[in-house]
Amino acid sequence: MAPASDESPSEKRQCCAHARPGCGGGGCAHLDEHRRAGGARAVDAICRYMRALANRTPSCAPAGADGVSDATGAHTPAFSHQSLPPRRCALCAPGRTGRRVHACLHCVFLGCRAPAGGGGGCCAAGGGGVPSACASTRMGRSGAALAAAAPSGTLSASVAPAGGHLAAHVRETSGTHALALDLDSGEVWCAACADYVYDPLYSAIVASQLGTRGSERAPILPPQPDAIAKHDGLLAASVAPSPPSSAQPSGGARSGAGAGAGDVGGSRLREIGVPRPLLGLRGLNNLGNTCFMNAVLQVLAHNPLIASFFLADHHNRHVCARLRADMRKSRRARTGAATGTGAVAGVGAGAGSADGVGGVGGEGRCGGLREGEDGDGSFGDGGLLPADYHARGAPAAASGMPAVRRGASAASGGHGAIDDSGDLSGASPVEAAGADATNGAPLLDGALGPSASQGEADKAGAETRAAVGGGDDDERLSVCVGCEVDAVFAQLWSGGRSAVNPHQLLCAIWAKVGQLAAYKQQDAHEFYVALLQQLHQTTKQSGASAELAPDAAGGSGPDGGARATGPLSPAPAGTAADCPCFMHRLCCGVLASEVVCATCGHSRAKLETFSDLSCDLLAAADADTAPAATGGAARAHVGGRDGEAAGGDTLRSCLERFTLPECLGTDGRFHCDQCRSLQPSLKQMSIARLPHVLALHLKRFRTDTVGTGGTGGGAAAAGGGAAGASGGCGGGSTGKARAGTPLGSVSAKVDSFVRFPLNGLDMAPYLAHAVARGRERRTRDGARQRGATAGGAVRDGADEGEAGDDEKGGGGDCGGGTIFDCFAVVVHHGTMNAGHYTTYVRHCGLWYACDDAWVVAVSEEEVASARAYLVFYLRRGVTEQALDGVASLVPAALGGGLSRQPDGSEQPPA
Amino acid sequence: MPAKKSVEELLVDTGERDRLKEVLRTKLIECGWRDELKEHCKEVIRSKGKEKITVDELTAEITPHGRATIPQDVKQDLLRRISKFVDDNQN
Repeated sequence: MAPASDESPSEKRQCCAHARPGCGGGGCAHLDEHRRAGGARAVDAICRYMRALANRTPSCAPAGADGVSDATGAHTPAFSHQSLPPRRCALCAPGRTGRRVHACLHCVFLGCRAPAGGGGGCCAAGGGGVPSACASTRMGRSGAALAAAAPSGTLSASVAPAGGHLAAHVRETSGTHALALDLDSGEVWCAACADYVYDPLYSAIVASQLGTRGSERAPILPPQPDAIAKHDGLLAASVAPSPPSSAQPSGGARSGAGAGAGDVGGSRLREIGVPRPLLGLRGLNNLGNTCFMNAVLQVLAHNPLIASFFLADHHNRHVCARLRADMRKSRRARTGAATGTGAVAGVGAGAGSADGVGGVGGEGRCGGLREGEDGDGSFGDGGLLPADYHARGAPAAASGMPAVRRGASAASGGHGAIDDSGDLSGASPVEAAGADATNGAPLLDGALGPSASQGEADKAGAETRAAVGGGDDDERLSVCVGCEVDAVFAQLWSGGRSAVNPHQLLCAIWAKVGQLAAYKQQDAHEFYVALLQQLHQTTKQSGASAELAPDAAGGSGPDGGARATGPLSPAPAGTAADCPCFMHRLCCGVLASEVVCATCGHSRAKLETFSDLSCDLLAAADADTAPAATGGAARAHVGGRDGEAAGGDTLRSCLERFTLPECLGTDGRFHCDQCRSLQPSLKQMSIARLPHVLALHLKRFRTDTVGTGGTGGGAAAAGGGAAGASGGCGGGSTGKARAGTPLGSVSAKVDSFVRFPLNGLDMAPYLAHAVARGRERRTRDGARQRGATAGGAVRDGADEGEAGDDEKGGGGDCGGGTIFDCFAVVVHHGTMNAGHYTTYVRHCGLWYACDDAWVVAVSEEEVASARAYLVFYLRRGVTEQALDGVASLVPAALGGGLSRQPDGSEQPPA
Repeated sequence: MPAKKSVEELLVDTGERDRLKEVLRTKLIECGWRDELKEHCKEVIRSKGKEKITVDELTAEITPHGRATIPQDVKQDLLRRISKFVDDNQN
């Protein structure tokens, strides 16, 4: 939040010595001097320290802070930060840490800064309020005035002197330590000038290390090779005592900056400390039409936040399994079930794996909740997977339809015993019976044939369920999708190069989501939604929200426009939107559906949550919306059904269509509270809360009812396209309760190209307040109220948000929390009923195409020109910390605590 | 058993304060508060003159306005989060 002081110098400051166009002045003499003396090193060291802290490196003194290497490899030791507390004023009383902590550029000191001339400043009990009268005096400006304004010079730790502890530090050093770096904003404060000063080199260093604060922070993706090289070049330039011209970023010292796009695995990158670039890239075997699953798995794996969630052991599968087993045990103990069916022991194949693997923690939160306990002896190796577990190999792919019961979701209490290699067991009754004997034991050799175990399991299941009565919970507890995903991620990041077989995950999904069972082709979007749902189940807090049934509503949106599928909640925003589970925090946004009275402008909004947005494509919109409706269609007049619309469709226009106001017509008049009567009204969708992960679903699969102009098309295609019962790849779900395709319908895939930005998608124009403002302005300007100018009006709204072009970065300062960057694209090839999914993912700044087991590097152009089906964006600047609040919300009863040990045991809260 | 810590200490030590700050930041952006305050900033700068204003002055000018315009539900939500956090961790 810095003032735009980018013009000629004020009376207090001189322009920096190497004024050049675009430099903008704003420097000061003190800064110049500092820089000439090689002060950039200090800035760099501080930035590295803060960055390492932000990444929570275990040691307080990260490697970078030990010194700074310039491009020539010379190592210059910097001051040690070993003893500094993170981001806290060195002198403030603990717990009363001052705001606006600054790091002195001349020595090792962190101090808070309060506006000069104000009251006791940050540390005082009153908080940061500064009487404006004082602030407007210009007395505080000069160093002398500062000294004069200070109270008696004692630095008591509990009350900061005027100007904060930083000012006191400046006084102590008689003004020589004038410069300090604001750790929040990355700006340099000059105490002598009493204002923030700017230097392009310093700003560049800060930007490359910490990201810029004024507009958006840098994406949390690992630094790109180019940025690193550039940064090193900068640093090298600054270290050499040379005339200002060499301080230019493009200046000479780009030695070794050859880390272009091709030099991915080069040793240069390893020097810099970028994680091994190929780690995390691994193919996934196709287990029989499972490309949809592979595609979505790659997407999840390359979502940095989800990946780090699992890799940081927030859902430790071993602990989770143990936990679930405990729960089962305690439940059984409580209900005093008779579990003695001995025949079950033989079916231990299923049982053995029950606790070692899989299982959904329907209740309670998986992962690291309790002190790691040994359980009873029957756990054997403590829940580690038996050695021959993976040797079981891929499922017998050709076993035809596995004996899965339809709709075997936990909610319905389905048994869920998938028989492949017998690895998975939903076979909780089985295991319930044979619990103690076989838990944790290695899987029995020679897994019983499917039919045998199935039969036994069924029998045992029925018995046990009857006896226990908690059978539902048991089954819920025995399969955990979260654990399976954790297992897959572990394999992906294990460093192996061969393709991974995600068969346990597949089975777990089958167990949980009956509609997706069997080896038919499925819709990737549906799978994504189902997977998120399952992960929500396994990471939510116990009792936080009821188990949500998969949303069976293919219900069409009220307009031909895009509709959000919101399986995460059919309930109003009050419940699911507040669900503190990780998935919700990450992926759940809130839509506002406003009904606006056309007469008086009074509006009423209804909120609903969404996990992804489904957008109609141009061709579909053109064909389906009636002529009288929105401007979007009018604009798209050229769009042929199968060809590409003139000018091409873009993601932005899809989103604009999404937020177009729709006139409800005479039938749809709403009762306006203000007018107290039925009035013609508009309905407009907008986004009330953006999720961190934005999933956009382009509706490429549509069904047109022949002869009726396809009105069923767009609407019925909501949520992924209804291809009727065939369940073709991408054709929509088999099991969803959607009306079957009417006779005489034509299913078609819209294969048009939709241009989408890879970086810098700005969602600001689609937010509720921006949309409302655009609407108000429109009515104020007296534009036609019918919304026929909606196309233009939304553009106004968009302009106000001022995102600029799609391709450029999101508009300057307005971006902030609304800029998104793409990290994965799922593409569907082929026709509606028979096709193939592949995924483009961004990994360490570079793009790769994942086609089942094959992963190849591709160029950005190729990704940008792909015919996307699902596009996934991540909000720029989101850090793990923002989401890590999961840990703090676990109730103490479940052992909620703050530090998590690698083996899953928990430190008790202090 | 360590002495009972103040809420603020707890928030800072666990890093929860930073997290809450992020949450708050996001909410304020999404409800439009930030854009509005930005407009106000521009007005203040225009009225005072670009050359003469300093960060501190600007901050002092806009702080009361900013505080006054925070939506009620944002405040309540934040309070709720804090008290929940305290409940969960105060032991």
